[in-house]
Amino acid sequence: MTNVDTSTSMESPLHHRVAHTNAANAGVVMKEDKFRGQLNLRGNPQDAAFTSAVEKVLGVALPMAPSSSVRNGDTVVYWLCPNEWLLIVASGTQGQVEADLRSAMDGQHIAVTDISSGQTLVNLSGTGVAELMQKSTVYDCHDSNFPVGKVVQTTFAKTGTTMCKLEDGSYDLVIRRSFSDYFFLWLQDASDEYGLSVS
Amino acid sequence: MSGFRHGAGRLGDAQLNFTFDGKPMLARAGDTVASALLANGVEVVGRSFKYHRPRGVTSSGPEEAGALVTIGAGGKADPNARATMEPVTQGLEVFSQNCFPSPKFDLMSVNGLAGAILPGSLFSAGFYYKTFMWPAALWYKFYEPSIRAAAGMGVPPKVADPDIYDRIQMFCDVAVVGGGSAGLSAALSASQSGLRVVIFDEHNDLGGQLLNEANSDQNADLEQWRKDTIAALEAADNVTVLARAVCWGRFDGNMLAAHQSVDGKVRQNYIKVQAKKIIIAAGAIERPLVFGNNDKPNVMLASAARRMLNHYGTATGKMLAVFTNNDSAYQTAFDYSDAGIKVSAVVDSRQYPSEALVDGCMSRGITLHTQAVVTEAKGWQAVRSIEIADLAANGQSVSNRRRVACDVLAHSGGWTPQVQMAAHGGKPPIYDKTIAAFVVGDQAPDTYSVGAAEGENGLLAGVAQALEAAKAACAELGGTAGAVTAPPQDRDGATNIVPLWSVPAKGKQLVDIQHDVTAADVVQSHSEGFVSVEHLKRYTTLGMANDQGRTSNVNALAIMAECRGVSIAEAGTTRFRAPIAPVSMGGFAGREIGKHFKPVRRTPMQEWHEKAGAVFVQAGMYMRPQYYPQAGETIDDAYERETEHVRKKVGICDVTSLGKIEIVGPDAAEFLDRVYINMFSTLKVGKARYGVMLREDGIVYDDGTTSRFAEDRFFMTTTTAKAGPVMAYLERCLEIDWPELKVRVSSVSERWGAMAVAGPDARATLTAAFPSVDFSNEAFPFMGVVHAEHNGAKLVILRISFSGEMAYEVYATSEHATDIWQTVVDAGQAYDIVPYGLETLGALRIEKGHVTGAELDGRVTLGDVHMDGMASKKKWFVGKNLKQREGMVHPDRPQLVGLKSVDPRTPISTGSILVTEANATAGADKQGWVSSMTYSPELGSFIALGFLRGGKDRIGERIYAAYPVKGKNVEVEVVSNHFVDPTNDRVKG
Repeated sequence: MTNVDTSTSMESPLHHRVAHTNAANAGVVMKEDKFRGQLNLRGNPQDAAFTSAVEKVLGVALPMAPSSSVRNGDTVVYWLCPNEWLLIVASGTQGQVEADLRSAMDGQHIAVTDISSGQTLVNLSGTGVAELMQKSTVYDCHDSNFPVGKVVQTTFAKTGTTMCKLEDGSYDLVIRRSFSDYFFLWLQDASDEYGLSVS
Repeated sequence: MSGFRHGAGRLGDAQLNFTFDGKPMLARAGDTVASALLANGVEVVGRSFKYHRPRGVTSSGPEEAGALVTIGAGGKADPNARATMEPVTQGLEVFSQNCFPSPKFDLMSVNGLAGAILPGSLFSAGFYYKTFMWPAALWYKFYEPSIRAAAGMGVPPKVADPDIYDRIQMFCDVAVVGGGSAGLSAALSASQSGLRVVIFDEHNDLGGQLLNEANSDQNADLEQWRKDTIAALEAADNVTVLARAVCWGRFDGNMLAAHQSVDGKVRQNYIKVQAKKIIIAAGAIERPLVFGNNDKPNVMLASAARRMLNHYGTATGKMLAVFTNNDSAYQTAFDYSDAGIKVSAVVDSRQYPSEALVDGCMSRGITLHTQAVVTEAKGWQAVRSIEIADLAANGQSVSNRRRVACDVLAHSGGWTPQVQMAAHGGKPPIYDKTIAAFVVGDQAPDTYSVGAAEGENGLLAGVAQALEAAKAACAELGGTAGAVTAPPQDRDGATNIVPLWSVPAKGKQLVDIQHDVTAADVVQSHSEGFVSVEHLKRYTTLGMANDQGRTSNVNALAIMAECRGVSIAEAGTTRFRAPIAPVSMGGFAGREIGKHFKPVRRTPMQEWHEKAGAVFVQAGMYMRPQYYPQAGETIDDAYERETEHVRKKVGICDVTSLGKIEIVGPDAAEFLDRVYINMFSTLKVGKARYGVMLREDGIVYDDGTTSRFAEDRFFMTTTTAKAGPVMAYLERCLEIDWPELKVRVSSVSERWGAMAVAGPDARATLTAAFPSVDFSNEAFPFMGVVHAEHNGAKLVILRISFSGEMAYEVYATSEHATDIWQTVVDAGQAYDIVPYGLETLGALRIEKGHVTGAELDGRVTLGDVHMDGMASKKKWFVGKNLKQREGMVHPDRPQLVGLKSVDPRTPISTGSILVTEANATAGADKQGWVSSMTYSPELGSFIALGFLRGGKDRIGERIYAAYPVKGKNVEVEVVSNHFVDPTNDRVKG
């Protein structure tokens, strides 16, 4: 579901990088999942009123285990710290989700902050991705240490990222808007020997 | 010409062409530069470091001290490469080093002569310390250039390296250092547990000493075992085999560092491996014997001569002699003889070699000299004969000197276990008399040293140790190491060494061949009082060359121990430090060069600025527009125009880089009251207020504007520089200091694109841009806050001013920010709107007397910047207690003042010192400094902000802004820091 009106002149953080010439048989494929709604949620995980209200709105329970995530269609929830979560929702729905969360938790001490415009979601896949990650992050991305669904906040080259491994072995990375151009330039160089394709 | 191709070894069939000093040469796939040069009959490869003595190939591995060459040309040139470690590739260009005009005829070799005539002066031990002491001025003019020209090896390229280097982070359960029989066995066994295994070997071909074995029918099963084991490792998903990867250091947390050479788009990888267990199977390296002219080309280690023949199909000479003090070198003589190459002598310093060895010589017709030594290698450039002699029983003298013909001399002084990686773990190695070498002794945590690296030279015995280590390592990690087929043959590891540390002989006896350190230098070091092995190392530079003492260390320690009359164990060994092998700087830099050295952060409007021709300036990680020059304008023209335009009409400036934080919760107002000096609980919804934060010590920390969006919801802005630190500080306050406060903070810095719209026509411009918003003074007064939407964008508009003019800050959701910026610019056309950059931003705020990071530099108090009145007396806040300390309120503290050039067109330099004398010298009374300066179009004068002792009471005084380094001395008038509109009427207009 997408409510984005593409007739306006909205610009995703990587909009200016579409000119990249895709390599044939690219070993690394980057896809910017543009304009996904992103909300920062803070609340008390011990408070059943809070957790049940969130579950009612999102349709999934908040992940409580450190570095875990849950997924329900277009809705993804990343655990960030014991009282903080990142909600990634369908493009354009963030305003509604924010309003629903507020009304469901009216009177509670929580914070819901729309940060959609400030960061972008990028997916990296392909045969060269495992090696690319060895070059780009100091985190051990091997399945034994970084299984599907695990969320870590670490560095990617010289920028920060919140990343999660998906069922298909690809990586979702949340990149801050102002660093996204740098991220792309790094990606272009670091994936040169595998070939980079942008879709 | 002595070396030649002989047999196939283990090389491939493909022929390769390469050049040596421009001369075409042939090689085969698998050759190293060293084996190929020998096969082409090259004997002299280069000249030595100090004495410019001719040097050739001395080894077949990382310990190479003679054949140092430059690989490649231009930016790709790699100086001081070890010819034994560099594979030949098609078209490779190889160059000799340190010789002019050629390695065979070198003019500098007179140094060798001078060293002989004047022992102890020119280029002998300690010459740096005592030869060129005085006068100091001559160092730069004469000594240093002369020494640099005379000494040193390769020349670094002067052009940029075009190659790519990568830094790679790896993780594993078991790391195996060394791919010989022990390492291969340990890795394969460990891999069968399912744990992650990484194995390094610095050679192209794995197998270690197995590669010294003849590739014959008799050894076919052993060779098959090697190949099968490697194949099994390469096939395993959980094993990473890193060939040509030198593991050069072991660091805390079981981190191993390695450089790996690769062929492809990337030239080298710098690999960091985080291992849970480390098995060190780094093997042992043969040491040379110390005798006269033992550095002459074609004197090489016995194991190297053997590997050249058996692995590289290269006979190192037509007539071989062997000199040894142990059993292992005999096999070299036997292999050469069996290959049909004449062996003229085996010279053994021991009295009674074993019967088997004696029989081996007899059956092959090899003359064996026992209780004998080689006193000197002879030949003009390369070995053409040797002088041998009988050694007295006490080892102190020789007799019966005689000549033996040969064109290559293979020697062995025993084997040195490669203990460096183990020693980096912190435990000093211990001396083992049986093998006359240092071994690991106590193992560092999580470390297992096995095989020859631990002094066990036997093939099966070493493998057995390795398998034990794999089993123990896996078990500790909860795994089960697998059973591995043992090698089908054994090799006895006992060397039966009788140490022979030096030979009573003529000629230079090199201990450290690469650094030209002789046995005499070690003795001299001792006689001059440098008796500790650490002093010996520094005094002579022994072991500091790229082989890092692999061949020289033990011999030198032994000679020093003899001089001191102590045991080798007592003399001890120098501390092992990383890197143990030469590593390229490129690997450390990786890809973090050029545009990747420091990320450039971009605001949403970056492209707009680029298209508008902005000149950018670094502001933190952002590149912000500095000014937007029009045709023919200088920077001064541009910012003066922009500044004047904002004062008279309207301008727009990108202020996205400000930090933005949402502060939410029932206690949010209370929280702000605590972190800001002024009151925020009284702030009405829909209004903004300027706020200042102090550090706990009372020094000003940061400032910004905070707006109240709702009773429990605030929007804070911070300076660009403090965006991250303030966010972290607020989090800390809530997590640690005041967990009872019900407040949540979230950074929204990146959510909003921000622009300042300033000038008398700002209201009209914004009214035209956003017709749905009422910008009238009544509806939207100074310090008002309005929320709006425009073309899908969410907007927050604050009526605040940093310029002193009527001004607004417009915050737009980032994906719409460029659209909103363009909307404002389009609407502003009717009022001649101009974009303005950081220069103008600075000029405007200096005219108005506002402070920024240049003033709030972590040293100033509220009083210093005349903000003490802002501090609330009704509440406590961070920094309140300590800001009252005596030194913080002292009347002599430098206080913020305005400064105006007495001659309006004379600029005042930022960083100038404020003094009262016209031509101040070093001893002058320094009363303050200049923090910011600009030209003020409004005042028609250069103006500045600065801090002046007791400045508040000195308005009207004339003083000087001195900048002695630039010879500047500007007369200035002390004025109020509010140069423009001190009554603040314009912002409210």
